[in-house]
Amino acid sequence: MKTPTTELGRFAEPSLYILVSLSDGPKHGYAIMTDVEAMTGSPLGPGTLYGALARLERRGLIEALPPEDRRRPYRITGLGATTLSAQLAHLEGFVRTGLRRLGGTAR
Amino acid sequence: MSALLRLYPRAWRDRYLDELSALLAERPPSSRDRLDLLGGALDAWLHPQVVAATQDDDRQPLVRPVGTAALAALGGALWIAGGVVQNGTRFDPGLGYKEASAGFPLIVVGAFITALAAIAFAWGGSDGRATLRRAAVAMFAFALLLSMGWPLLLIGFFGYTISVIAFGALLAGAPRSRAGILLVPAALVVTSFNTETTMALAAVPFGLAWIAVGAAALWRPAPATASAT
Repeated sequence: MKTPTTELGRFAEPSLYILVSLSDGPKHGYAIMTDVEAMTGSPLGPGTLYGALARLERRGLIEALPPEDRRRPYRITGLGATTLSAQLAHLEGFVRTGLRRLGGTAR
Repeated sequence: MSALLRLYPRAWRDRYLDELSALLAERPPSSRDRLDLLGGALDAWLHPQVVAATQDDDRQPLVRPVGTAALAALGGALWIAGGVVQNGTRFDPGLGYKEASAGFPLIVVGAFITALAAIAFAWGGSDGRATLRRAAVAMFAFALLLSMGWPLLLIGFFGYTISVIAFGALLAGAPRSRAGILLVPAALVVTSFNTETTMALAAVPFGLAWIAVGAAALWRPAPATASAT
């Protein structure tokens, strides 16, 4: 089944990271970058970050809050949370299947 | 760095430049980040998210749906009339080819009018996308070649039909424009029009497809106002 983030091409994965990052509260661009780097171990480039933010915002999965100084925080919307939840559940099933098969192979 | 950020489209800069500049002030970019920004600028031009959110969706349609439907119906009717006239014309195999028939000018005008209908579709409402616009403009350019006689008309004819196939497929992918898919098989059929003098009636289903697509435009609801940035 297609979900809004899987339609984002090369921005699908960064978008998923951003949604996860925003799921515990609003963050601005720099905070998202450092959070994603801490979660995944690989840095998110600024061009990729803003390409993904623009797509998520346009699809109503996140929304911009009033700027604080020059930094603008973003927060996940209800639609974004639902989408993220569905996608993580899908990934969880995928991971379970993979691990089960690996276990079967090991035996 | 500011030179690199200037590569982004103006609408994008209006929306994101301040916060991205603030981010880059906090985290000075590596050479890899600079490349990433360059890719981001290219992406912003190719897939304009901000333009679509603030300008495309809010813009007024170039032509109202009833005008688009009228253009598509008129263009389609001209294709049908051209095919019927061609079909009723006797050709001398040694001298005559279809462009010598009285029906050919009808076909050429039909190609222009349907190209204008395509442009009206592409610039109207929330279905407007860059690729759809390019296909519509290509239709018009090839219609122009079609009107220029040998050998350009051959390039014009096939270029026009290929553009229609692309346009129909893209239109079908847009919300509430599924009827666009009718243009794909109809344009494939119409290619036989140019290769066989006995296939003049291949223009008829093509004309009907345009009329159907135009009629479907009338049932399209007005585009919703997008919440901009």
